[in-house]
Amino acid sequence: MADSIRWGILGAGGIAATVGPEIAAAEGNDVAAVGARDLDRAAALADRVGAPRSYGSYAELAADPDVDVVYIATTHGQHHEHALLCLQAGKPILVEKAFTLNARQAREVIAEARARQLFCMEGMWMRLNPLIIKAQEIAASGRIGDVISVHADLSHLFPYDPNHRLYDLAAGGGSLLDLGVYPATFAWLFLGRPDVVQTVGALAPTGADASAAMQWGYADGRFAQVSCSAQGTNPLTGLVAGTAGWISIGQRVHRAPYITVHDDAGDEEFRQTITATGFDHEINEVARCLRAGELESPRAPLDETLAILEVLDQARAQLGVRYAADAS
Amino acid sequence: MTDAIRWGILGAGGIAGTVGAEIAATPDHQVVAVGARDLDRAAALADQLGGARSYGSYAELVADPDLDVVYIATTHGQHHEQALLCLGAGKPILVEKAFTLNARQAREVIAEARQRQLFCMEAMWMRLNPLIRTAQDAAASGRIGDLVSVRSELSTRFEFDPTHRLFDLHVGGGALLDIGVYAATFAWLFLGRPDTVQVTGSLSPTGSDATVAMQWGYADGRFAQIASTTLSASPLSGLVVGTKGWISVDGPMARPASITIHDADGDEVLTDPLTGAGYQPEVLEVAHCLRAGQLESPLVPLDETLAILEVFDDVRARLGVRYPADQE
Repeated sequence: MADSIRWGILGAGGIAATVGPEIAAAEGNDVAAVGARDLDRAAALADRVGAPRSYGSYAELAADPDVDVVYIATTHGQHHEHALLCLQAGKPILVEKAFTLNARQAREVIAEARARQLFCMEGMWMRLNPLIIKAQEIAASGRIGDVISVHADLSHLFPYDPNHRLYDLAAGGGSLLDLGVYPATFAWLFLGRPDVVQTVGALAPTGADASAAMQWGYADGRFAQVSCSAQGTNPLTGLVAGTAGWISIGQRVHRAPYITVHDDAGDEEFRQTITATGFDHEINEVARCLRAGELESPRAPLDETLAILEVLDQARAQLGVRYAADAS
Repeated sequence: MTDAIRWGILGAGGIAGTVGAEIAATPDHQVVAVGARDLDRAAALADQLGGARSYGSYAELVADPDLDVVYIATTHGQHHEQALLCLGAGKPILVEKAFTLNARQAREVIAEARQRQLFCMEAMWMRLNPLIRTAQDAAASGRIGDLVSVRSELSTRFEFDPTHRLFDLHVGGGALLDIGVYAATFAWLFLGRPDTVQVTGSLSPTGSDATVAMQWGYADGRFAQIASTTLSASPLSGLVVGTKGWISVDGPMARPASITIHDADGDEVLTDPLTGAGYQPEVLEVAHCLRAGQLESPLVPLDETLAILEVFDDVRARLGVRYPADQE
């Protein structure tokens, strides 16, 4: 591996254009190449992020010998195929969330990465957010007593458009995989795998979930209420309540600028300044793992990525949302 | 009816003292009598409230000819019997929440009040709170678009004590009737009767509900997530999400410190205009109805009090919480 981590970006859409410049700006990281179906788009993004090479196919990108890790930035319907393509070409991968459409696809990707001993991680950047890590540490310290419940939601209005990725079942459309994966992961960080999952929601005319509300129950009485919607606008809050206090994520559960810890002593606020887009912690974690020879990030374990997709499979089944990939 | 509304208070416990003081402090209202099982306690409260008469039995209280209305301030396990006692004596009633233990009891009380043409109302003071009414008006006006969801969460830590009213099944113990009734009524104010109800929770050693988490679904895709537990503290908050904005309730939802209405123009924060303990709007609403000859408050309809108890009966049945009164 060269001194600098040399990234390849697979895809040239919105998230590639957001995270790409953050990679280019992160110390010790460079974008070496961009690959997309459309060479012009790949070249335009490569130009913006200072990447020397661009490709008009994913296979060419995956074959580039001077790429240390590929960031898969396509829509989640394509992740399974693109992840396997990269792994089979011997490339470590950072896979944008949602990792895959369902647990079956995730199992296949994870098995391939482990068999080939290649680094693999879901781009669940919330897990690397220092304030989220701080909240986990505070909960684990017992400062709010035993954790009893978690509430989290993430809603963002996407006006209905059957061709938009959020509503297009062929692209893995739906609020759960696009938005719900954040509040679900948030709840998981504090409570782990639920024993019972109950779901209500609303389907768009395409059959994609426009809203999804999940209630998680645990045999010991703990619970979580998690929701997401592409129909509403909300302050994106998170709450972890314990026997002796609570931690609230004031806004933007996935990108918290501050958290408040309430206990017998009163309220204590922790703040952070969010860098350009907040993806730098994730990029640095990938670089750290690659340099240390770690095949997984302990902050974003693949077993949890898989387990959360198992819960989302269950929730989608309860809502009646089916992808073509669910049948294969 | 004389110029001032003359109240009788049935019960001399904590809530009787709190609301009694508010009644006594309201212009054109007097507490003329207090009745309790223990004459000393009744006399002590009567003294505190400006030298009202006191009785050592409920029967004597309801027989007092100088009462315009009786406020039933006992624990909810006794409301059914005492409400019927008052109505049988020809007295209008304000019944502390929860109105009764179950829907059957509520139906009997409501039928009796209607048959005798006597005023009857659940003391759900949250419904009269000016900020809650502003939130309802804002939601109804379309200012936050079409409603998508409601989240309401009201939890208070109570150490387990099998003799405490919160854990004693004989007096109607449990989180749902004591604090969940607020969270559920809050959701109902914005979304109405749910089409589906999902429940998870946990029981205390006595068999009362320590935690109740409910998810309400509506055929049109709206949903509510509602939770109450006696195991943890919480910020006691409510959130109403619409397609164009949201309304958040800050602090205890029965008497919020403030509400925030967020729409395309930004945030509008409205703060609590009330003085005292916050029960005065409820006292004034009872007076308004009595003076106008209204047998029900349009802001606290008995049919909704009953309907919410019907939902609760179903929720308790699924959690396995049974009161002796459920068998009658």
